[in-house]
Amino acid sequence: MTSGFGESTRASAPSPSCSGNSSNDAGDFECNICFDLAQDPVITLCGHLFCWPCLYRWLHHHSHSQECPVCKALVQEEKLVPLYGRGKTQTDPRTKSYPGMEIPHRPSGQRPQTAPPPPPPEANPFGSYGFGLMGGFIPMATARFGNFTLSTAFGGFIPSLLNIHFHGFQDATVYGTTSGYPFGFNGFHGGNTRGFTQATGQVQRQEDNVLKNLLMLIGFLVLLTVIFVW
Amino acid sequence: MAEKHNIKNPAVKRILQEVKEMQSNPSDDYMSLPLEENIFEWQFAIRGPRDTEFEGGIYHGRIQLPSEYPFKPPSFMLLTPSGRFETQTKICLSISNHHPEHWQPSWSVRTALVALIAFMPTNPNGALGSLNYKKEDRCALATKSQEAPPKFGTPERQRLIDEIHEYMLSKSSPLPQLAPSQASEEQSKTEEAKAQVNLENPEALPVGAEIPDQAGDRIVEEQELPVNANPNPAGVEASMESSSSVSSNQLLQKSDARVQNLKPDTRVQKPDDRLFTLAAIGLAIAIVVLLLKKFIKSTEYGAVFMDES
Repeated sequence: MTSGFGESTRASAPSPSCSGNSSNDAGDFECNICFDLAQDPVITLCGHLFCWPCLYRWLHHHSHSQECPVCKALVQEEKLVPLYGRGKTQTDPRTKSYPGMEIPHRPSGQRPQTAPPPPPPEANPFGSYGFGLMGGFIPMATARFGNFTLSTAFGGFIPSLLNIHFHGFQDATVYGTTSGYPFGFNGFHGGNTRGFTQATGQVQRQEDNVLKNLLMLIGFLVLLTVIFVW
Repeated sequence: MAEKHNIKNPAVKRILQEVKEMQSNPSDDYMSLPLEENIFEWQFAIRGPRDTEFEGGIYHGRIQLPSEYPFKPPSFMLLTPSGRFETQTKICLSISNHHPEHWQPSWSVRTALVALIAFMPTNPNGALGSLNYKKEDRCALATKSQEAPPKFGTPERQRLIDEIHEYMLSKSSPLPQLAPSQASEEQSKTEEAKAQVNLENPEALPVGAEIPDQAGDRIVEEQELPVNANPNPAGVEASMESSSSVSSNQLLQKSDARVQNLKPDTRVQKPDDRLFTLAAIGLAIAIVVLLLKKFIKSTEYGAVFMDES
């Protein structure tokens, strides 16, 4: 009789595991507090899933410390990560789990910086040179336009001072190339060539380039001031 | 049953969910059912743990769930004499309402019953509602508990108690004392041990598979058993909670430090910045050189002035 009972026990063993497996699928997205499909789901840093209303009520009305309802880890509201599925986020307020309580919106996700774009491919030397020449002109004009815009943005500049500003920019470029010729046609040509090269290298990050150009311009102005005084 | 209760109440929804889970995954070690008229009142029965003086015992009790369940803990009261817990008195455990600060909303009636079974062979150490009978007395009470369920409450509740008792009897294994001779006793014990081993394995799998986090809680409860032999269970759990929170804080700090370490590395990898940095450095050096020249000339002028005087 005892051995028969043992056999019957062994025979009945698989059935709980089968039903367990079927119920396990739905349990992956159930709230750890209300045991129902998570509404406005949020995940803690320790990886536990809750409804935002359930977790808010626990953290603000019942918990003596900011602890996870499952593993007692520290829960910081600014570190909660919401889950955005394909379901509609706008639901009828009357169907909320806690109609009597004022629950704020769940914390928003922290979006990292956009991934950098892939580098452009280079086909052949001649094409690259041509593309560089074409692209070099437009960014150069854009950079100058940016400087001009910034100069105008300051507002208090006198027109003559503005002219000096523009002239000083080219003069600084010339001085950077050849220190022996402050003014002259040859210097202008050299500066133009150098401008192409620099413009080609500065295709990306126009905003940063504008700021860097402004800082370099200020540096050159300081240098000229020191030279004149000397 | 669902139609009779207010579905919008979150506590009722949670309790109905637990009833559904208990019915779809029954266990041989415990049985629990709510009253028809009041879903916050439950009747339960647990089986005494094996290889202890409580083996073979069927202990009935009642559970009272608060209106704010699962944010507040329930209260437990045993109805069958066991020699470990008093009858008709609320039990003092970390899972009951005597210690609401230790309650976790992820715990449920199922986890509470498993914990209650695990707490039976522990030393009470004078906890409220606990008893410390001799081993022989506990064995006698365990044997006696199988004969008839306790008498308690309304006829509906008594009907529920009888139903639970029949379920527990149908799932129980025969007592070793039923066998007349020692040889047959030993054989039956061996077979019972094998049956228990077979029973334990499928019981652990569905529980672990259903809710992995509760399996984690169960592991914690198992670890507490040897430690609870001497101190108070509440004190031990309090110290374990503090240690776990400290370690979790350290982990958070380490992760924050790693995040901070990653930030400066990404900024260094920029060739355009290098060119501009070199240009700025050259410009600064040129300015410094010119200033030095000016300083030297002023020094010479001072020297000339001294010569004239």
